[in-house]
Amino acid sequence: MTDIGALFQLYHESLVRMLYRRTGDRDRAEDLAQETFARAVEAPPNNPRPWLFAVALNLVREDGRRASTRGRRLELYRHEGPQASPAPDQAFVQEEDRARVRRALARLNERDREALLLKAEGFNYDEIAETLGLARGAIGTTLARARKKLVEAYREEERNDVAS
Amino acid sequence: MSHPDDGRLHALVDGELSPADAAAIEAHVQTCQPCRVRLDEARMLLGESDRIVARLDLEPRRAPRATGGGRRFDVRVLGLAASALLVVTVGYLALRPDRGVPAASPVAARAAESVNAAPKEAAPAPATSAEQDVAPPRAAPEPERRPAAERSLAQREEAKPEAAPAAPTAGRMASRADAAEQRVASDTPPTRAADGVALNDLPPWKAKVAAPSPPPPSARFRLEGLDVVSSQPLPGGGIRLVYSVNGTPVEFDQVPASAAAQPAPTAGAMRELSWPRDDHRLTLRSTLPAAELERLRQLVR
Repeated sequence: MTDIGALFQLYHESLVRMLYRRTGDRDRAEDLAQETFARAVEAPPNNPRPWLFAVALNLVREDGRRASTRGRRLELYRHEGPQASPAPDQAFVQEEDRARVRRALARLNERDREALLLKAEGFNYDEIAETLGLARGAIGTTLARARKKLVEAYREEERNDVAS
Repeated sequence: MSHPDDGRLHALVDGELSPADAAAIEAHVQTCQPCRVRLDEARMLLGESDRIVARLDLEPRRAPRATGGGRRFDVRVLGLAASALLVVTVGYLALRPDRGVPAASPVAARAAESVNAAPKEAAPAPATSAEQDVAPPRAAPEPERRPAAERSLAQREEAKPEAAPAAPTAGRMASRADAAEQRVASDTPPTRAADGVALNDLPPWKAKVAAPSPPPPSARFRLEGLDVVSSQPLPGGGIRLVYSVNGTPVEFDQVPASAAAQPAPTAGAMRELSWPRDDHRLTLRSTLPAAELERLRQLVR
């Protein structure tokens, strides 16, 4: 029997962070994490970490599809409103940079982006493969492509921002 | 050997190849200049993309972390912050001077009521995290319960009339209000159930969330600056502490040399670092990269 309370303590922060990076929307990230843990209560998973993150990423995709049929933009570009941050000018610079990262991430394909975000949460190749339903042998190639694309896209966004 | 493709070079850099495969590639790049350049590029891309992704963090809404001590993660504060999200939001909005919009979403009002209905005894927890979210971090993580409860109730009274108007996301808040109320109860130690907190009414996983325990006295070693998520005695003797490093679980086993058997890891496919110390065998186990484990080892006190 899995202790969901322990799972929550172990994985909630990581899950919310991944969801926030994926969606760019903290409230939505919190809601999706809640929904994910609610599903874990209904069907306690055997291998919790890949399970939780796979469910969460599915929710993001479903959510995105629903949103796009309503004509709403995918939220990767979403600009977060002003928040309790350090100094205003510093906050502005940080927010600009976050927007740049989100634009760069949005240029990756879904699978590459997900693999990258899972790796950033400390997933090893086996766990990434299980979460995304890929062969383990494909993970190195996926990450190689994702990293290259992200770094190039980010540099390009930087150049565009300087130029404009 | 033939030239390794990018996938294998990244797998090498990620420490995901078998020792034999890794050695073969290492040997190859010694003699193959183009592949050496590609390996360097893989290392650069890994570091660079990690840094880029890390810029999308959750810092903006959190108060600055406690300074000094190198603390990266505070399970208690984060756990409570998550569980008291509504109270935090209400408090935060109320304390912002620029929110003076007139009130009256019934949904938001319900949210505020719901907050107010949270069990009194459970108040210290959300109050602590609320304060941490809007004010500089407190030095003492465990304030006295009674005064904190009074403070927090007073704070909520202030918060109520202003918080209701400032809720454009009232629907979401209302749905969270109920959850927050329940979670507040679940953060209360079980002994307080007698005070009227109906633990049986909580969903099972919420009822099981215990307040993060202080490291048990039987633990001889600890990781300095990190908080224990859970601990359990090991069957053959010794103790296992579970830490969370940026959300990744890390097991820290400490087994006396006299103990019969070495404990088994809880989950498969983990990296392990084990060494003897003061007639104990210490083991760190996690999916974190080996370098991270080595870094954690330096924190053992």
